[in-house]
Amino acid sequence: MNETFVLELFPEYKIILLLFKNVRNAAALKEKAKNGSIDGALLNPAMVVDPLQILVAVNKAIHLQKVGKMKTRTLNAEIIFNLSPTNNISEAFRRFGMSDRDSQVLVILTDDGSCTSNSQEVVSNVEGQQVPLSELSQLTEITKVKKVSKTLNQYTYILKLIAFHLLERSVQIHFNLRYNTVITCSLIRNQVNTSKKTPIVSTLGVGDPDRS
Amino acid sequence: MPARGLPSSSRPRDNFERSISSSAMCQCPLMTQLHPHLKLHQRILRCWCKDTPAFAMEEEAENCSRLRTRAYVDSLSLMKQGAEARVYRGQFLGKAAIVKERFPKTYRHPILDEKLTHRRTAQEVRSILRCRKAGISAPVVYFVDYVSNCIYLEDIEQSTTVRDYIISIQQAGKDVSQLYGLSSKMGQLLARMHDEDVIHGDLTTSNILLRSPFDELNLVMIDFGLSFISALPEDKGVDLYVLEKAFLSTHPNTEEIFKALLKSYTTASNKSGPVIKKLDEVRLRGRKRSMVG
Repeated sequence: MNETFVLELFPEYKIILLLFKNVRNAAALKEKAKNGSIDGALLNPAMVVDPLQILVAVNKAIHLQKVGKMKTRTLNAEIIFNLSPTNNISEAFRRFGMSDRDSQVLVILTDDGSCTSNSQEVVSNVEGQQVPLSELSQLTEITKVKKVSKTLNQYTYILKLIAFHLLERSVQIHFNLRYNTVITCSLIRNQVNTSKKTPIVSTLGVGDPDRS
Repeated sequence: MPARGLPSSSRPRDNFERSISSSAMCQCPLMTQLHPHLKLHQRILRCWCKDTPAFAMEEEAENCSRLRTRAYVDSLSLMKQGAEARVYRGQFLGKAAIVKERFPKTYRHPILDEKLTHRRTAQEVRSILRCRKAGISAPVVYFVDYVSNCIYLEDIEQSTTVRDYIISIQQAGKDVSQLYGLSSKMGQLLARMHDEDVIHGDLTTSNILLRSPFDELNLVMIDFGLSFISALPEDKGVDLYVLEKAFLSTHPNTEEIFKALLKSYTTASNKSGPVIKKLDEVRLRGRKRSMVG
């Protein structure tokens, strides 16, 4: 259930991602994260298209922490900030952080040995059902992602996401058709195949059992 | 502690200035005479104030970061080495990645070197992102490290350069007419890029990749190391001129194919008129405009 990732640049860190559904105590969790009894970043999984998105953000956050150039005060805040396409911290929290009424949450633990909470502790704190990370794609709400992208230049957001390889192929196909990216994304999510014969979903590695 | 002898309106405003005025003032005599509003290069200050704890810590953190990057990069396989940077290939965040490291040049003054390298790294990333925003396929940027000036990019796997592709077709003695499709695609790509005011600066057939399967003609622009943003037809004309020179010298007997490229550029671009006119001018005079010196 706990997906652990290791960053090549920071091998001493373990990145643990925990995904929960039907969470009932979101407000309490948020409070705990604020006062430090949960040492992790609480995200709204609706805004996450792929774990790579998280890894890119975590990697940047750790790097900035190491060289002392963080824009926010803590590593966990920095991770949430890095996910956002804008430079506004409170906006980043509003959009990417978990909110009090959310029923789903994605917890990121970055453990370099000094992390004060381990995954069991977090699991025991959350009143909800833990699900494997592979279910992330079902929790992504493309309308929300779309909304963020709309506040900006049509492409900016998704293209930042496009740290994504995953969307890559189809974005390209659709750009050729003069679609905008957002449409592309929803196509991927709804798994609608277009006139192109390419099985979009599998070339992207999203939801493809062989690659995930 | 505010600097003594200065008017209160000119008190240090941010942490950086504060750290200098508080701890470094006593140590470097020059500083006491300087107005705090003078924007000095951080690096120069650092040379003067080496012993201050704030700088020492920052320096140490940066050194650690450099060592860490070095250790990682050394574990990768070196792909290419140029005058400006080294390119490595390996895994990053579980994906195939390219790392482009602009190494420090010992033949330049260290302060100048850092400034130039930093600026070029930033410019390269900026151009890549601008292209991607416009829907022009370019490698994904995974991470940028401004401490050791490394760019972590997506590796376009199983791709070939347009150069190798054209050569292989020519060598196989195949019908060269199939290259017309490719050249018109390239024309469209360049038109879109120039319409976004991105000047690549180093257009050659080796700097355009072809994704597999090759028949689909999915082109990817790479190496924005010399790129810049400009709306001037002059710059776009020079960009095309550079490509023309490179194209015709690497691939003999392709004049017709290059003409097709220009033709598709003209039809695809909204602002092609002045550019093509400039291209003709540039052909007559060479790419350097000023003939001074």
